[in-house]
Amino acid sequence: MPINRRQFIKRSAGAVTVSLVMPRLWMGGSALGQPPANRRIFVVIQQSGGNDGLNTVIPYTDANYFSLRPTLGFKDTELKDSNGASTILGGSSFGLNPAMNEMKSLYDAGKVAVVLGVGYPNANLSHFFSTDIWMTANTTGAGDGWLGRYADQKLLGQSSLSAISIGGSLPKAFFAQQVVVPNIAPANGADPFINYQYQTDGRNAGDRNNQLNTFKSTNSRSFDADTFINAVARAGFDAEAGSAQLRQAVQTYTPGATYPTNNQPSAQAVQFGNALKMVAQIVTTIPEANLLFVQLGGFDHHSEEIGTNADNFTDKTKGQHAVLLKALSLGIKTFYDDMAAHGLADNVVLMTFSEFGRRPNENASHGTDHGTSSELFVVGNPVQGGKLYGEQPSLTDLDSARNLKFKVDFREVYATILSKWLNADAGSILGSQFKNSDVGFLG
Amino acid sequence: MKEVARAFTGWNYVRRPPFNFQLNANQHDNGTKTIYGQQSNFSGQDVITIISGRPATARYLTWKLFNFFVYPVTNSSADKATIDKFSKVYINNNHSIKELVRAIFVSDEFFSERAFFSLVKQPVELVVGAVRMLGASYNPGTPNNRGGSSVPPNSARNMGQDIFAPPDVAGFDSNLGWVNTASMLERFNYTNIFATNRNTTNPGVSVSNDKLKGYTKGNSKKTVKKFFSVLGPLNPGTSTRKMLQTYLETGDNGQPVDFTNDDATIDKKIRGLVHQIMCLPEFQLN
Repeated sequence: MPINRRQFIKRSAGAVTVSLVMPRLWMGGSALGQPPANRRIFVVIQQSGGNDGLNTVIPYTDANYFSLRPTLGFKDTELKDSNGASTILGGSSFGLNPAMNEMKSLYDAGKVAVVLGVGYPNANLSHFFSTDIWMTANTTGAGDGWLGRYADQKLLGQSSLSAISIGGSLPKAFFAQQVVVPNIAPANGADPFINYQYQTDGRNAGDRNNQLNTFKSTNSRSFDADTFINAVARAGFDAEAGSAQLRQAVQTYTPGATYPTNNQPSAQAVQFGNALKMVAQIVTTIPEANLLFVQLGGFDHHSEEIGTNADNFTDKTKGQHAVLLKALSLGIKTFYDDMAAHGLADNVVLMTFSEFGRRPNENASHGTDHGTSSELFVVGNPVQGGKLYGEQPSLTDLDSARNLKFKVDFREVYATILSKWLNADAGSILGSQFKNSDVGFLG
Repeated sequence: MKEVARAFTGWNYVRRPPFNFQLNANQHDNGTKTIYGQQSNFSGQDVITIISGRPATARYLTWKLFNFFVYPVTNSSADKATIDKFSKVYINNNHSIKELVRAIFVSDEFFSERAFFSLVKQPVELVVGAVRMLGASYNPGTPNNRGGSSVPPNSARNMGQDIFAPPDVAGFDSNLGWVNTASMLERFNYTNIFATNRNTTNPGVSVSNDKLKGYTKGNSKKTVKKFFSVLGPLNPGTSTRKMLQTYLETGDNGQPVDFTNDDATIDKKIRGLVHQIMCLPEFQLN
């Protein structure tokens, strides 16, 4: 058991009163056995770049789809996975991209809700601006993140590991006034958490303990309460201790499913699978960690969305989009199986989103340009899955940029999750007009 | 706000160097605007004159500058009197911010005990200040080979400050806004990268053994004191100094060793000392 800050303070100075609201250091070592029956984990997957919704959930019965996409469009006969099984969604007029057979199996098992036609008014076609809009749930793209506002309401004073982002940098969704969410940048190699620690001189590993001891001594000195230096020392000490305890905790994880390795089926699938495996490591070993965010990038397919050089970019079962959708589908299924193996399948809801969909008509480069509305997936045992929600926008009634007109405001989806899964007040987080919004996928 | 925005209609700049101001007169709203109860066809210039003529503006500017450069201002009557005193400098010098800042920088308040270590360093002050105080190297590389030169701005972003891209028009947060476990870990790890990078030729931040040798004294006490002076000056007290002396005098096996200022010790222990001093709570403050 690593020494903790309180022990240091007891030894050095006696009681210190502090009125600043700081996160509680996760102490580790708490009972990890059965998760509490009411544990509610929420995982967000950002598909950055603008995912082509019309080639993810495919309106294969709509003749307009084929006239808009003579090259890229999937015919009903092409909606078959690599084993020849149909990816058409239960007698509906939609089929999943054939790369997504894992998602199809989860859908058939009632674990996946598809929400059609999600967007927002006056769509912005800039990646950055539209991402900010989705992250903040504010059509100006300004202010704190929607999950940050939730955290300020519900996670203040809780464990500093209540919410964690896995990725290159902290997503704006987690920007908050008071709660601070750590971001863990995955490292290549055996231990993806290795960067998330107090680092010392790599050339002098033998001196590391001396450095750590010195750091703990200097940062556990007592200072006057309510001073900046006291807050700095506390946060500094907790940063090292929290990271060490997180790293120690995640070592106790045993995978309950086999995540992709060795570039199979693709480097992207391995990278995304590793990020979800980190999420699994965290949620299975840290009972307080319930809000997680991961990213899968590269969906900006302006050209060569389908096919490879060998087939002159015509084979729809291959190509950049198929590779990414396979990574998404396989990653989610593996993570679902892992959660089920750890007895957590009833405790996890997962949601995907992308900053926008893509334009209905294909361009001349076997690609698609920035669009508006798209579908998203909500996955998990608590989800009333195997069903379509929302409404598919018309392919003939387009806006002035020849893009889709959205049918479901994305904040209605957020509101459903906030009120039905996270027991939060959607109105105060998203605005009063979304107070009672309910898309229906959580019953 | 809307009335003021109407007064600024037509303001623009020439979109090529040297980006001069220009007024598109035919885009200006020439109607009557009501600003602070006065009605007229105000221009943007008029608005600036009206706003800077208000005593509240002088107090607000002074308050902002004090909070940024001196110490956090409280609601006490003494602090209010201080702000009033300096806001008069602004008003009495034809609204010159230059004169206001000059008055603040030469004031007793600026050099008072209260002003020392009273503000949390912004990330950019930390990442750049560390290099400058130590006289270390920063090699920016070239546009095609930036290498490690992007470490300082990237680190600042991970500490919460995306340089030149504040979160909104209110600008960056301050003080406790920079303090959390995630940003503190980034501070510690940035200073480690910086203190342990021996490669002075590749792009990035680094410090050579020769530079460190110049600060290293014959015993541990003088050495720690010298680095307190170089990296601040910091005055964290005798007990903290002794913790760092103990660090210099402890071997890999945890047992005491004599401090020497040979090259091998400098490459290991002095680099470690620099990192440890940069991890002190005092170093995070200005």
